[in-house]
Amino acid sequence: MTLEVFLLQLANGLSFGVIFALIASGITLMWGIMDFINMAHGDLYMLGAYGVWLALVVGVASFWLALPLAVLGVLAIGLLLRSTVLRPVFGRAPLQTLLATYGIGLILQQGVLAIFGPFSKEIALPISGQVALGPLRYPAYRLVVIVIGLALIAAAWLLIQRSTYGLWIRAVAQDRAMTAALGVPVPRVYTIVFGLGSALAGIGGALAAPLFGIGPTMGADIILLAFIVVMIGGLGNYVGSVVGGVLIGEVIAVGSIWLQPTEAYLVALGLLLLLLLFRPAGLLRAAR
Amino acid sequence: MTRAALVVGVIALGVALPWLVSPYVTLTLTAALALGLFALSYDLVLGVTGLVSVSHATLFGVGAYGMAIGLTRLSAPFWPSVLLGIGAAATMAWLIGFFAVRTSGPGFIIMTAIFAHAVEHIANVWTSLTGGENGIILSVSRVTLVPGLDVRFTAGSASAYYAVAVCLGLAFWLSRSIVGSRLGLILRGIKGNETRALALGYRVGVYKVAVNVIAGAIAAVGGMLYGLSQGFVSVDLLRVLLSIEVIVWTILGGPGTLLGPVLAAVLMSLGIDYLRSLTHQYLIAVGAVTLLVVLVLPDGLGSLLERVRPAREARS
Repeated sequence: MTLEVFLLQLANGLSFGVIFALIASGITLMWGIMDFINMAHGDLYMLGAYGVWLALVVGVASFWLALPLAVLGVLAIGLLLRSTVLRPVFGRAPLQTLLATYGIGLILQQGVLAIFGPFSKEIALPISGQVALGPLRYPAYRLVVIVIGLALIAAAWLLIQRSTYGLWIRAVAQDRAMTAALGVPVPRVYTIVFGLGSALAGIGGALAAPLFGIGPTMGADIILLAFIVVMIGGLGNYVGSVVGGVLIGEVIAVGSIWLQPTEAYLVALGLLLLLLLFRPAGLLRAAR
Repeated sequence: MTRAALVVGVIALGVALPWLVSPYVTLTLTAALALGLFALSYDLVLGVTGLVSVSHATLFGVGAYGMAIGLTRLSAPFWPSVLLGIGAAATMAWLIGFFAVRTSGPGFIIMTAIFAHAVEHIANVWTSLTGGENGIILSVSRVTLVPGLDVRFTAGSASAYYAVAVCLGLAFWLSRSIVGSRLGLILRGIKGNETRALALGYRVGVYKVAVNVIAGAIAAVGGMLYGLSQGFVSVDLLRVLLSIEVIVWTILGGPGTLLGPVLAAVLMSLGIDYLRSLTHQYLIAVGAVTLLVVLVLPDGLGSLLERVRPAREARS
C-alpha cells in the first residue's frame, strides 16, 4: 500500500462520512427531540436518489437543478407523511412509531420497486474532472460532496443553535410539556424537525446517487450503517452523529484497502460493540 | 364448560385437519404452526417482559441455519445438528442481549435492529455458507423419534404437521410454566415498572438477556421445524421483515396472552401466503397492514371485541 492510496481512501472516507452524517443526523434529531424512531429514514434517502434520476430522465438539463428538485420532492413526501398517516403516531410509544415507519418504508421501497423495477440505475458524475490536492489528484465531484455536505451540516447546526425555531427545538427536547405550557407550538416544532430530517436524508441520497448507484433497496442497505453511526455518536446527539458518520466513513473507506465491503461493515459494527463496552452512552454523551 | 368444549373441539379439528384437506394445505398449515411457535416465543420477550426486540427472526433463522449447516456443510447426524441450531440461536440471543441491555431507552431497539440488519446482510453475502437467495436444501425425509415412530418431512406430510403441532403444544406448556414461575413474576415486574424492579434489587439486565436467550432457543426450534417442513432454509427466515411481522402478530393477538399471538401468527401468515399467491406486490399490503395496525388497532384484535361488545349491549 502506498501513501497515495491511503490518502485517497482517507479523502473518500470523508465523502462517505459526510453522506452517512446527513442521514444519521436526521435519525438522531428525530429521536432526541421527539422520541421518534424512524425506520423509513433509509427509504427517504432512497427517494432522494431516485428523485435526481427521475428529474434527469424527464429532461431536467443539469444535475445541479435536479438535486434541489429531488430534495424538495422528498421534503414534500416527508411533510405529507407527517401531516397524514404519521400525525397520530407522534408522541406514542417507540414500538408504535417503529411499526408505523417500517410499514411506510416498506410501502415506499416496494412502490419504487413496482414502478421503476428491480434493476439499479446509474447517473453520470456531474463533475468529471480531478483536482490536485497536494500529492494526489482527487475526483472533483467527491470534493464538492464533502463541501456541500459539511456546509449543510453546519447550517442545520446553526439553525438549531442560533434561530428562534432552534431555541424551540432544544426546549422541546428538554421538556415537552413545559415548553408547550409556555406557548411554543410543539406540533409545528415536530413538523420542522421531521421536515429537516427528511430533507437531509433526501440530500444525502441525491448526493450519493452518482457515487453509489440507485436501487430500491439502497435505503435498507444504508440504514444499518446509519444506526451504527447514531449509536456511536450517542442516540440523540447531533454533533455525535456527525463525528460518528465521519468515523464510520473512514473505517469503511480505509478498510476497503484490505477488506471486502461486508467485512468493512463488520469492522464498523465491531467498533460500535467495543465502544459500548467502555462508553455505553456513545462517543459523546447522549443529548440528555 | 363451554370453554372446555371449545378447547376439545379445536384440538379435534386440529387432529382431523390433515385428513380433510389436500397435502398442499397441510404443508401451508404446518408452516403456519411453526410461525405460531415463533410468535409464542416472541410473546415472552415483548408481551411478558415488555422488551421491543427487532431481531427475533434473526434467532428463528439462525436456529434453522445452524441445523441446516450441521446437516449439509458439516455432514452431522440429525440430533447434533438440532443442538447446533439451538446453540447457535441461544448464543446469538445472548450476544444481542448483552450489547442491547448496555444501552438505555430505545438504544435496545436500535441495537437489536443493527444486529438484525447485520446478520441479514451477512447471510445474503456469505453464500458459500448460507446459499444466499437460494438457501440450503434439506434432504431430511424421515426422523426416527423412537423405534417405530417416524416423522416424515416430505412435502405435505401429516406426520410433520403433527410433529410441529406437538412441539407447539409443548412450547405453550413451557411458556405458561415460565410465566407462572418466579422468573415469570420478575419478568412481568420488569414490564410493569423497570425502575421499581431495579430498586428491589433485581439485576434487570441479566433477566432481559435470559428471556431473550430462552425465547431465542424456542424460536430456533420453530425455525428448524419450519425449514424441515418446507425442505429448505433461506435468508427469508432471518429477514428484519419477519421480525417486524412477528411484532404485528403479537400486538394483534394481544401481548402477554401467549395464545393470542399464536392464533394471530397462524391466521396472518396464512393470509400473507394467500396474498403472495395473488400478487407480486404483496409486500406493499404487508407494509399497509403494519401501518394500519398502529393507526387502527394499536391494542390488538381483543380491543376490537371489547369495542363491539358494549355497543351491541347498548343497542339491545
